[in-house]
Amino acid sequence: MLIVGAVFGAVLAFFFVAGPLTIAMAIALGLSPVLPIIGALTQWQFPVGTVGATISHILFSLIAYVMAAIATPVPTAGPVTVTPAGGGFPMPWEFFERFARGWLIGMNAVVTLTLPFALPWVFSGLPAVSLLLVAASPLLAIAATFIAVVIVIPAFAPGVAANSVYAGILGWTAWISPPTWPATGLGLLVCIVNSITALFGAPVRWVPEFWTGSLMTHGGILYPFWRAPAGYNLGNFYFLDPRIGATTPEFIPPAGGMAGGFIGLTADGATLHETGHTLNAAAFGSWFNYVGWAHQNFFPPGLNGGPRAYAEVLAEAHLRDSTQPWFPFWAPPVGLTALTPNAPPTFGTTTVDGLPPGAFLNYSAGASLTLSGASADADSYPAATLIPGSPATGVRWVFTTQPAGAGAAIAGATTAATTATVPRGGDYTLAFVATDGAQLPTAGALVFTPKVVEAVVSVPIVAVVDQPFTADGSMSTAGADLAGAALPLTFAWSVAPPSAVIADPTLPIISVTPSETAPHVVTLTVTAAGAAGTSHTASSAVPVS
Amino acid sequence: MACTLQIGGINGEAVTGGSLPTQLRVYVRRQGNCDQVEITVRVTQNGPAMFTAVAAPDNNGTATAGFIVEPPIFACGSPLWVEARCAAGDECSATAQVSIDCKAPSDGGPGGPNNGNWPWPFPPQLFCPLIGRGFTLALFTGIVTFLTGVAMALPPVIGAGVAIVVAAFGILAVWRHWCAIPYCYFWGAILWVLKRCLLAGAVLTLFFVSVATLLCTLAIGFAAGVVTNRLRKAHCHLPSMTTPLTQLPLW
Repeated sequence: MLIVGAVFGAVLAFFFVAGPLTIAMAIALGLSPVLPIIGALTQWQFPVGTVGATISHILFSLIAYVMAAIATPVPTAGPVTVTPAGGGFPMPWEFFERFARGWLIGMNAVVTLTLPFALPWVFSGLPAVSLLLVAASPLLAIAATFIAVVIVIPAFAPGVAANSVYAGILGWTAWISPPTWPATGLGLLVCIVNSITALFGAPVRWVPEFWTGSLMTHGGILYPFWRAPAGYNLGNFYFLDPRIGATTPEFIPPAGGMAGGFIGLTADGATLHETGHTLNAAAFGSWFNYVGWAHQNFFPPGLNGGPRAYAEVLAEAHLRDSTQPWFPFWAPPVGLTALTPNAPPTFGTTTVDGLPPGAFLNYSAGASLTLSGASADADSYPAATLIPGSPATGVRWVFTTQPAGAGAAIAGATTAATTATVPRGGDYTLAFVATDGAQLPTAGALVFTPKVVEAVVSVPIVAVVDQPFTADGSMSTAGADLAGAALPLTFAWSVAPPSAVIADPTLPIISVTPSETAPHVVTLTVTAAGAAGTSHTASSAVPVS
Repeated sequence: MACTLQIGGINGEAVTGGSLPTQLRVYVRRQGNCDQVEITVRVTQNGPAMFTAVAAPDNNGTATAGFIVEPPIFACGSPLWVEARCAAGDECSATAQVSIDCKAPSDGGPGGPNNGNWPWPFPPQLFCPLIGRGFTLALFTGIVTFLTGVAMALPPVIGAGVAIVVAAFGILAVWRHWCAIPYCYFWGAILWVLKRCLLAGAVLTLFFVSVATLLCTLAIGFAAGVVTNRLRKAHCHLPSMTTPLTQLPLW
């Protein structure tokens, strides 16, 4: 079906994309009599021929894309790995996807073959220029034919497309494949703009990706124009969010805040995905990528938008993350064999003060927690493989929830063994996540829920001797137990000097009667019941007149 | 690139009749950013320092420190403990127990490990980086010459480029024959050459507006990608295009 699609796409492109250009050129050269039938059907003259060819190319790319996307119903819930062994989602109209993919490749091959001859004419306005150029530089014709026939067309063969050497050839020759220029040209422009901003101090770095012949721009002023944290591709250029770690795995809170989950992303993992788009553009042409961009950004998951867009699924094949859907198409990344997916990272023994996730953790306000995390990655892919010497996994400790204004701090958030402090009373959620550098931390997060006891004493600004004042400890907290019920507290009040009279020192709110004019220090110790006697003491002074 | 040091060996020279060298020459291989190497020699790991010297690596990345042993007390083959630490540059160090090698420069004989002398004027610690650097430079020069010839459409220059590349592979044959080249070092040198040639090719393409040079440059880029993959699969360090030749590991 791929071959049928490729032939169909090639014929379509010949008549509706290459045809108008070729015929218009023939007419302009006075050669139309030799092509009377086609010439009569397509009486387009330059620039109508160029516009018509472009519109046709965009239109047919759109139709083929829609057909392929409809035939690739990626489930919207949960991580999905598409594997050729049948572990993926069902594709009842798989032949449509194959036909459409072949169509795109065949069409792109013919356009690749045509444009090098047409473009000089388009730019010069002289049809003879193209023929003269071809005559003067047969290398151009040879290169165009080579790219179209030897490089682009074989992409329809799964065994070829999944070959890393082929991916390299396809990516590098994309530079001289005109159908990629609408994307690569814009990419060059964006790269230049980002580079100019670097002159004014914007943090920008450029890293060539030699495998597919792409150039990464890391940072720059134009990064906020996509859904952060992420990156985007424009032909042989791709652009990454500067917050994504360049060489070490990092985690970036999603737009909804840390409570929404974690995104583990490295420049390495993002590179593999984005260069998958480079290969898409090389095989299918730029318009495929633009249509895919619209599909990803303007269609909901119910219509396979977002990361489940067809263009994204194909690009993801170049990374083969274990949590994102991918289609067995592009070359297996370095470090993986055959069509196997990336093995997700795993957790080792991870504790907080020696206790595992889910254990009841109780502390006094201001306590220091000892964090000990461990993670591993069976295939050391992609981080450690792509950057020899870098760790196989990156980790992060993070407080996903904490009492308002608590200001909980972690000494070394990206260090497996570190410490944290919990300054205020209440419930905390502490998560430990690990990534191997791929798009998402597939191991999920290990969650700890420290409960912190804090005594809070509220007293009047000033008191009068022999007149009772109220000391309020009801704002003291110990958070909730694991079932969510508030932990009961016991109260113990004391006052200095001891001559003061306390009505009932075990109540949350007490009455204190000072008997002398010296300042009185009211001290409260609260203890969380059932928490191994964890307590916290706070004091407050009251001037007495 | 952080620096790394590697103890290359100890050569015993001016050997007395009793096979006791009166001079020791210690070689330390430097990679990365380190302009001065402090070399210390001890009899044993925890023994007192007998000799200490600071040496600057040569153009091939080898730091050499010579010590006088008077009276000569270490026999050829005796093990000594050597420590090397970067004294100017990034932080790196190395330690190793190495035996004193008492080979002398070539006596004109066939050479080889059983000859008793080196087959060349230098010990391998100096010879191997030198010829490795020669290969790398020759390959780079040859490819750039070839690209220039293609860009200018000058067959003699193209021919010269090809000849230099062939000569580079001749140097490679010598290098491979006499030196045990680590896989990562050899392919790292190739990648370094390809990266720089890619840049040179891009500049020539733009300057001469040459389709042929463009195609050659793309081919070089593709080759760089293949070599990069090889190095990654072997978990080798990837040399950067900006890494100076003097900091490339070449033995």
